[in-house]
Amino acid sequence: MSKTEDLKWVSRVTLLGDTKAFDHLTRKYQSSIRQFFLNLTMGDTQLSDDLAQDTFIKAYLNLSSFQGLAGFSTWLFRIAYNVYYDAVRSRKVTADIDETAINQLHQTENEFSGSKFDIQTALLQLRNEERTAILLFYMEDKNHKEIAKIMNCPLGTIKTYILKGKEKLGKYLKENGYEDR
Amino acid sequence: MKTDDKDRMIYNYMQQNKREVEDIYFSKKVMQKLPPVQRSKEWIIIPFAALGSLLALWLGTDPELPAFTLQLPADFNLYYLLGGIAALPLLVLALYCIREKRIQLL
Repeated sequence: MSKTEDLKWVSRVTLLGDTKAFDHLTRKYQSSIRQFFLNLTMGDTQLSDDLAQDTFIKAYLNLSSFQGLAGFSTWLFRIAYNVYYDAVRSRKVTADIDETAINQLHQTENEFSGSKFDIQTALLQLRNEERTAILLFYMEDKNHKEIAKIMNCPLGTIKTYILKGKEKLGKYLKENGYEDR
Repeated sequence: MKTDDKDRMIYNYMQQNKREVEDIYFSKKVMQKLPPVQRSKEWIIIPFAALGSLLALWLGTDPELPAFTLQLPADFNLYYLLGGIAALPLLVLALYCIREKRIQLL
């Protein structure tokens, strides 16, 4: 994903008011943002789509504040993270997902769905912050600095989240016999 | 960078679980819900301030100006030129309105 290309689309929206350019950006990033929310909300499709929609609308309204210092994707994930935590604070999303959440899983179809390797079941082993950092690091290929920007945390804290998350997730996968495929 | 065995295992596990979420009208719904945003018109100020400054600089400092005016055809009224310059902002405004669809030509 080219940073320069994103900047071109962003400037078309901000300078020319070209909504088609924003449509292009939405199409480009909808999948990763929706998947991010799906994993944070334990597979709640409806809630994920609502949060993703809020994210893109907020991004559109604040696009002029995007300075291009970080990549557009990092900036967008930062908005997504804030939208998610606003929802957590307003109790739209349960802050600490407990056992009842497991029963309400709206699991996405994949080869591990319903199994002990189901990603949402595995992610339940982690605290909210660890889950977010792990998802951004391993699924979205963000580096520590980018995650620190997204989560607005010191670099050291992010490293700790990832380290702890890695320990817990690695232990869970090994205990359940997951072999690297 | 994913270095050790645990890193690689988690990375592969995550990548195996990564799925392309189909758009299915999602972006269309987002586009429909976008609120109208009043774009800043401040950009107008810069080019016109620059144009005005250049014009003032030219009129104020160019020693050739009298010659220029003298080179104009005898039947050419200088007011046409000034009128043309004065009409420029109106022309840009009209183009802007057409672009914003505030004026429908067809």
